[in-house]
Amino acid sequence: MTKIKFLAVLIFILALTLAYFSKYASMENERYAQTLKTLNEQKAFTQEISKNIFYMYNNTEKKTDDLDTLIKNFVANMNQRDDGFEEPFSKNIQKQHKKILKEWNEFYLLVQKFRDLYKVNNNAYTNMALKELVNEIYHTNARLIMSLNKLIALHKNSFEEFLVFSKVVHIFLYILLIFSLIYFFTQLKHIIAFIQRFVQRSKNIVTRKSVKGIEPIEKEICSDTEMLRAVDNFNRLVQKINDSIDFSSQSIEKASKSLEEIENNIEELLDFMSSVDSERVYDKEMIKKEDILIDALDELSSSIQKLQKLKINLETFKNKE
Amino acid sequence: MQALKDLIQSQTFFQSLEEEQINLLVSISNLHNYEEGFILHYENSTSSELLFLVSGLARAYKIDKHENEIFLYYIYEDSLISELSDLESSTLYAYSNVEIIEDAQVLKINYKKFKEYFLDKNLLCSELTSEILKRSQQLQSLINREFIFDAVSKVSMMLCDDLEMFNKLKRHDISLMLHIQPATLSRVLKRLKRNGIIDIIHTEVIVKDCEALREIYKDKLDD
Repeated sequence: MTKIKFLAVLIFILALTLAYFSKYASMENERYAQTLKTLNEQKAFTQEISKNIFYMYNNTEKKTDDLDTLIKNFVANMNQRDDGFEEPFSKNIQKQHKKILKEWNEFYLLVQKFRDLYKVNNNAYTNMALKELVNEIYHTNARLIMSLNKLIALHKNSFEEFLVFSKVVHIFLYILLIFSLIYFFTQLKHIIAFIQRFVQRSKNIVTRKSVKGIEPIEKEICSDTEMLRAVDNFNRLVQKINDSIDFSSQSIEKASKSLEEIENNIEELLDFMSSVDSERVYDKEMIKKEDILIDALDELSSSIQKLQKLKINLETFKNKE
Repeated sequence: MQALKDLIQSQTFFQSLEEEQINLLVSISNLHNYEEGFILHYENSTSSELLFLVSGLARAYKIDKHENEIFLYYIYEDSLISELSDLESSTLYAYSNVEIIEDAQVLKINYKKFKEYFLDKNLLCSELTSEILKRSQQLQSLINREFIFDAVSKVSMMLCDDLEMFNKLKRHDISLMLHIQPATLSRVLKRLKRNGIIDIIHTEVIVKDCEALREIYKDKLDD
């Protein structure tokens, strides 16, 4: 029984662990998808900003509204990404992330510089400075994109590693659970077989008119100390029933013999009284006593019959199928 | 129909009824013939018919926990077989088993209608009361026989009250009926014969001193 209880607890814990791990894997999957989405959006924003700057540089509308909106969105996206990066990632990812932050700051500074200079009236100096800034923005953007691609690749590798780990853990937990269940059911089969035999034989004792054929339960089917104890108790009960029937039967036989002896004695006494009566010595008291003796003899005979019937019933109970 | 009417009219139980009432009774009754050994009803069963023994003989008995028969009483002709325990109910409850022991004619009356046409109109009530009192006396005898009397008193009472039946039945059946051993019955008869109270000629018992017999079982009641 202790083994069964331990197995049941183990199966319960394994099932819980499996459920928790599946949930964790699903959350990791979601986080990976979210990270990829954020990084791709970042890439798209820096591209957009760069394109916008080239467009502004080639046109003289002097409007920076679109650029401002793009910068705002990019900053918001960066903040969102920073929140996601608070959770533990590998050292390489963290290093790459820091590098990107640094490059972004450079890019952002250059974009701010361009925006400020763009608003100043055109002259030879500003034109030169703008051209240089546009070049620098182009190169920084290219570096940023490469860094982002590298970061995406690092995330992808990390996630693939996690997928392999997750698969291994899942398979391990499943195998453990299946083996535990198989072992559990094997043990349970023994217990069910034992209980069925126990119940069937107990029922036989209670419902059948006979106890013949109720053999003691074999100890081989028991794998547990508690079951062995139950089998011992049951077998002792069967033995006691058989012994009680034997003892009762013997007692009844002895009682019957004793009663028969008394019966014979009373009969002799009655014969004697009859012989006294036949000598015509009528005595009312004597007749009354004779009546009492006749009645006692009747009671005795009926008691002997009842005892014999009881003995037969007991023997039938023990022997009859 | 006329035969049934004549048969009903011949029974003491229905003699107080008038012509019209007899016709009414005939319309709700049927006559059945039964052979010896037929069980008319089993104990604890219910019936919608009132049974009346026109001719023959029946006996009422119960079965105890050891499946032994306990003889209760005989039902003679011109007597009610059914037991009335509830006047409100429209069905009859059987307290005991009833077996035909001599080929019999039994009148079966629809009890619901009988109650409506006769009992509810206070007809046949005194006859019914007399039947119930007879049954009560039989049960008193049963109590005496089973709990008060010894073997000698039991035999004495039967010899005194029902000698005809005593000589008709086998000794074994009598001992079963009186709940005594066959050997005891022989001893009692021997004792009574020796004391000159009875005589036995070719297994037939002849009572020589009925008063002495009555004294034997009356003594027991006085004790």
